[in-house]
Amino acid sequence: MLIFILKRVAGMIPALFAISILAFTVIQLPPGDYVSTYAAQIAQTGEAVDSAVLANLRERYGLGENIAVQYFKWIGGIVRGDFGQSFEWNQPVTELVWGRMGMTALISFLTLITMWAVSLPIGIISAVRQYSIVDYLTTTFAFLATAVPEFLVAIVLLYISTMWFGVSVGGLFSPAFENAPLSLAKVWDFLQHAWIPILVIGLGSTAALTRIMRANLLDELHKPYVEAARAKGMPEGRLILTYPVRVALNPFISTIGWVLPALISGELIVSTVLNLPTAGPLLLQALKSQDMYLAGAFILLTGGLVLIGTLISDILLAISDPRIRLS
Amino acid sequence: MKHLRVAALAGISFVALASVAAFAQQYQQSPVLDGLDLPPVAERVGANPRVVTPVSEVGKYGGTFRGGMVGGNDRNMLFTYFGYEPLLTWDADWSGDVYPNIASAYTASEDSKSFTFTLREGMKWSDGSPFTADDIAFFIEDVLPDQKLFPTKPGWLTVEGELPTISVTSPTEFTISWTKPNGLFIINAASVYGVQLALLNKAYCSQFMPKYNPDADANAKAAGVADWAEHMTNMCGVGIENIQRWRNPERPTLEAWRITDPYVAGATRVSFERNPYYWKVDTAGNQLPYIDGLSISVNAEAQTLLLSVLAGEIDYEVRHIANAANLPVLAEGTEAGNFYISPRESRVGNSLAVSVNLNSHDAVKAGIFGNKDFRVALSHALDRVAIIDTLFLGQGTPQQVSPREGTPFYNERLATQYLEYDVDEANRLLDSIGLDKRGGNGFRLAPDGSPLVVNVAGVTALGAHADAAELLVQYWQAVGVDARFSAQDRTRFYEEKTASQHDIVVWGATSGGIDVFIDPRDYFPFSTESNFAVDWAKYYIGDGGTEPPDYVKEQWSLYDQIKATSNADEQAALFQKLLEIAADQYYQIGISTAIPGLAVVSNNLGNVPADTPTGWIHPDPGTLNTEQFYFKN
Repeated sequence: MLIFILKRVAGMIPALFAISILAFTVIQLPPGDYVSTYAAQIAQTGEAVDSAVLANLRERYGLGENIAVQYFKWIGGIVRGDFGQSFEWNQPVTELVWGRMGMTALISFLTLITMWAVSLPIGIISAVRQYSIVDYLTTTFAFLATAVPEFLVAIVLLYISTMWFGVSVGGLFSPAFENAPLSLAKVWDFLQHAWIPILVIGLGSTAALTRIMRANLLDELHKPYVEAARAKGMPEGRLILTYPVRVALNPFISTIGWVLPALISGELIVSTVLNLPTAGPLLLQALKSQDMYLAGAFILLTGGLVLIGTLISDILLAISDPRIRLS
Repeated sequence: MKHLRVAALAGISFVALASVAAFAQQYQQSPVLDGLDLPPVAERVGANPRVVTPVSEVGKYGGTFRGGMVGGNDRNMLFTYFGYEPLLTWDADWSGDVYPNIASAYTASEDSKSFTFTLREGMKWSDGSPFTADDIAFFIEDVLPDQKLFPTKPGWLTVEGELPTISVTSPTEFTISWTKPNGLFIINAASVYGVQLALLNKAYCSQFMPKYNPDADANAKAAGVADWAEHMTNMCGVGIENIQRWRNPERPTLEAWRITDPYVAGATRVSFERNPYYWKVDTAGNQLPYIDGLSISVNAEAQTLLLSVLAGEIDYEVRHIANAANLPVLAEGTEAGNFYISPRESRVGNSLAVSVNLNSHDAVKAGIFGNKDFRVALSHALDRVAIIDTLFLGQGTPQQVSPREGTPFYNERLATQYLEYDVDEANRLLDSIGLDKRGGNGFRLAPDGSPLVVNVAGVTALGAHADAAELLVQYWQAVGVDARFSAQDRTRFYEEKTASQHDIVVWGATSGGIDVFIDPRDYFPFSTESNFAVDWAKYYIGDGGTEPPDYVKEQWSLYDQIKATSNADEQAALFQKLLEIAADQYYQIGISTAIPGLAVVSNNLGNVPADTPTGWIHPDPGTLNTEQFYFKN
């Protein structure tokens, strides 16, 4: 088992390296650099831009240098735990990135748990009671939820709450708690706000997982071993949960590999719409203003989060299925 | 209140009487300050506080102002709302008159080389320490000349590269001088830029300089930054536009509110509390501000802010979402959101400035674009009334890029020439300058027989600019010019035009009032923002470029003469001469008078004037005196 995990971790290193090159290339692709974006932005509001100031900024940020040199400086710093300086915020990226990434990880993790908790029972019920009212209802709902993009759900929710109820949802805390230190009241306040993004982000994937669980279980339900157990007089509930569900669970677990990236990228978009204090809005802003080290750090860490998710799914699979562990 | 008129400036001394009426008065303070361990209010406001006349009525204390920012670099929202505290100040109507603010009075020498200011007796920083002329001297002598803190010196504080000197005659009196005249100094001192002079508290900020504290470098290292200069910038926010100005709650300030939850990385809400030592009172002797605190949300997107506004969660908004595009949704939401739309006047010289590149690097195009008749023909080819109807819902009248009518800088010829929609005249002019041959596609060929393709660039993110470019292209194609619309990303647009690689660009016009003196980019090649002649402008600012013809040099010399006097009438007369040359050359094509702006104001917020001018140099709502805003309920 330990060797299995070590091998998987070792495999992550080249992947992370590839992500870093990709991230750096992507943030270099648009024309211009942070300084020209900055100049364009302030000129738009009618503020004066001094070209000497711009030249100075460019020199200070090392933007004139060769791209390869810039990359190795960046990655060299990261190895030492220094993500560079955010141009826009005028602060080290490290100060910005961890809190926000932590929130993103927390929201994604909570969504994943909720998703499992919801889709597992629903999937089982709609498989066992195939073509019943419950099955038809969940199927209809699942198709709808898979088809509607998450950000649209977020926008509709925002519209309804603002126009009909006169409150703007969004954010993860009430204004009073936003800058307050951590306390029980703050956690409660967080939970009161967090269900909206969790619902929105998890909706599509929950529906998909329900369908997967249902299909997997249907494959197993009519196999001979089920018939045999039933013939021996095993209670129906215990029978289904102990045998076919356990076998059907395998593909269910391995879905984390693709559900997690979907969750995180969904989170990035939804959090921008809902104005959540997670990585999404900052990343979008950093990309727009070409604040390259900040954007790079977010992309790299998001990539890392996905790799970790895949690792967890591999480990869980290995635990639940000895065939994978031994091969 | 006695005000100081720029027009009668030179050599005359003023004494502000502002304080006399309030002198013997009892002052009141906000109830939240009662019971705190503070000196009496009369001591805190000083012997000579500035008396602010409330816009409609004396307000009442209390409440928290709710505002909204967008993104991580919206520091100038805080600046323009709560940080406009210059040495002298403009009025809300931007008449061009200069009023006392931090300084209670000033005199200018006859030759405009030295300016003597009087400060308020007993005025204090937010930590209770006295504000004196030494604080100003600290900036002029120690901070401004420093290469690390100010690698590029603000243009208005230098005269031909020379920095000012200061002599302090008493704690409340000092003189700033140059060896050459600086006639625009007073105007600048009342603008946003003037905030710079009294931004830094010597006692606090000097601790970060090695000159005052031998441990400064070691302290910076201990704080984990590269050198003392960076540390000082982080702690003191040395420049007016530094984001760090809004980061350190310990930094003493002269502003009405002091920061409690700073605008740092990842902040979602920035808060302020009242400055108990604020040095302004209202006409009834109440210490300002009326409002006790500020709570500003940091939004990811302008749309989120718009939703907050519609939900009635914002008390005043004039940035980001307060524009014509959002007008319908805002108008619909006034009742539910309990706000009203307050008209604002935009004082820019035109709704749009269309610049043909006189410095094109393409030899053939340079010849054509440089021909005034070409630009005149393009202007005649435009049906401005139709354009105004399409783009601006009929708001505005046809006009070229020019200072606004009603200001002393208005030049009728510049504003009204070549406005007629006259396709025949446009065709005749184009034929007459050697563009009479047509290619197979029916478009005009360059004089050398090569196809003439003219790219018209507009930034898509700025909706009206791109829409306008698209419309203009159609009008010009109708007179046989192969104009093509080029939708561009803001950054690319900027790179191209700064390198003078553009043909024609659509951008906003800038100054149209007293600010023509501060930023005359639209009237002669002044900065790289003078989109019609970037290379000439680069020559002017000493950043390479190419040498311009004599008429441009004459404009530069006229501008130098304006800077050499502080007589407003003389300045206006010189500027008219400068505009005559601009009219002769017809640098830029304009569309219409500026589009009116708007602000969203909560029904609960009192003392907010309407129809006031907005702009960067005369910021809204800073110039409306936010300290006298109050909540009715």
